Amino acid sequence: MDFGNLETAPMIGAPYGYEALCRFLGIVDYQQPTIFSLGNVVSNSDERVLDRLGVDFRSVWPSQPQPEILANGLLRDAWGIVLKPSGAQIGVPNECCPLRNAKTLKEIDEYPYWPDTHSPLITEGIREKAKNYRDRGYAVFASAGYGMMHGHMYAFLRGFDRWLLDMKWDKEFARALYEKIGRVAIDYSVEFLSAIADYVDVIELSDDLGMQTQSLMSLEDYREFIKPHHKKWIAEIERVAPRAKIFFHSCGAIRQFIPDLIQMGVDILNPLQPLAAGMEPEALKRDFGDKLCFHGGIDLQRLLPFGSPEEIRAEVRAVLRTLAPGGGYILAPANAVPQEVPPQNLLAMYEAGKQHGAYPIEL
Amino acid sequence: MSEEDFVALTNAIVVGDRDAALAIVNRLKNSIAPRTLIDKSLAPAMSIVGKKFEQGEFFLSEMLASAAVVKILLETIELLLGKTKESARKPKGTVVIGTVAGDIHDIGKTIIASMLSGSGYRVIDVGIDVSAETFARVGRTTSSDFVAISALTTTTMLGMRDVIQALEKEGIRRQVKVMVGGAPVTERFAGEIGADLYGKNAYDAVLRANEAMTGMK
Repeated sequence: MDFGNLETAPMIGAPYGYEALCRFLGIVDYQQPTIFSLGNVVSNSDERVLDRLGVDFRSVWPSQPQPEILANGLLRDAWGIVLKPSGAQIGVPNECCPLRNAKTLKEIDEYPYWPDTHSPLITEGIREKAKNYRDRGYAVFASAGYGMMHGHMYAFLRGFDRWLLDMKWDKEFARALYEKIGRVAIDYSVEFLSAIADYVDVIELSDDLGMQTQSLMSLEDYREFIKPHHKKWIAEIERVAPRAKIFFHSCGAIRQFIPDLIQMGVDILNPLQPLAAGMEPEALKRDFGDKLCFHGGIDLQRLLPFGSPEEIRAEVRAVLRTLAPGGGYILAPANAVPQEVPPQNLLAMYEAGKQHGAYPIEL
Repeated sequence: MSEEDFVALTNAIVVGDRDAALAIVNRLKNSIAPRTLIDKSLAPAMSIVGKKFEQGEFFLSEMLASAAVVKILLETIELLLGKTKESARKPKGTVVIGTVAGDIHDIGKTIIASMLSGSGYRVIDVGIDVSAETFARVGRTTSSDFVAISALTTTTMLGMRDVIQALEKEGIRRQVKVMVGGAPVTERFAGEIGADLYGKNAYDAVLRANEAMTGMK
């Protein structure tokens, strides 16, 4: 697979937005969306939609059971994460996090929802699916669900606030919980990827380390608590699927972590949230373009939901001029597409990509 | 409390050292004057933390730790002094704060609540996913000076307009200052919806509230 060519990437998004897009494209017999339990992300986008947009990737996810419905409209998924639907969003209320009040390391081990990392559900149907995508010439993108998350899992189990506070106030507990999460993440991901290693081109590691204006934590805290587990995870994945590229997702302002990510073996950086501090495409290409491939870059905080198709096409051309030279850019929205993005805007983005995005780029 | 104690407490709050801060307060419990403590330690600490955050030296984790220390200190002081002495801590003003309807983000809102408390305000935190009617009703029943609304998504922030309308319906729009903030919120949006104040971050929110209180006296 030649990553030097400009390629466009999978669209994922809220079911409302996804269904509106299907209908806009005249597709009415799409399958009921399968939603990854957190984030309303569609994991079975209709292939006709992807073809119409010109998407070169196809995704493979592990299966998971439907969340259990609790009182007061709350849900609990198979990993014990309690979710609260709120309009189009699904959030994780801090006060409902299952290990929020845990004090002992014993409670970590006794958490009843650590997954069975050899469950047949993890690999159900994925080998055939991945082979089929490969045979049809698509880039195969593997997302291991919760198995690809460390800081995220910590926050979902303890609450977002305690995720950050534990690194200051309860370091022993933090180290122990990360150790357990790291072990589970590796075992789960290895089980998932071993079934499809022959066919996978890109494997995702996902942990949000940044917010709009700056990183969520210091580089020192990342190196002390999370980096060791990212490093081990990447090493294991490289052992199981040596030909696949490592794709790292983090929202927000994460510039300070990039050298460490490169050092650990990350090949592709996503989503390049362009309005976040320090994430301007020009600077990223200048400083890291010889070591990283970039994936994302088309703003979806303001441009995609509120811009005009003309503005979007102009921005696609601008981003291509900046990130495409020399290879190493995969055009995509800068994160999961929210439901507010009008279908015509998404179409404008991908049509501009198709029109201008084949190498050699002439813009 | 000596000047050294105030400095030590300020430093403990700034670095988010809960144990050191509590040790100082517990050692000195017989000589605590809450208003002085706020003016000489908590408020300066919040100011230092806010500046360090703006300058990129502190991250959300450090700010959260400092704000959490302030929250614990205030609770500890209330317990130490007993509810009968609560009136001794005459608040600078009253703030009703919450996250707008349909939005369950609470970290930023909670930090601001702690920083406002630490700066001398009486804060009523009405929580997350708060209806416009609740903001207005609590604003009226607490005779608040401010209604502070937080939103973290571009869709939910539109609900801030409903809060302003609810304040008008409740008959208290002129008595309160509406402050808005949150990652997607801009000063321009604040102006468009008729908000009085825009806080670009937690530290800025406290500064804007202080300025407004000076103007309101």
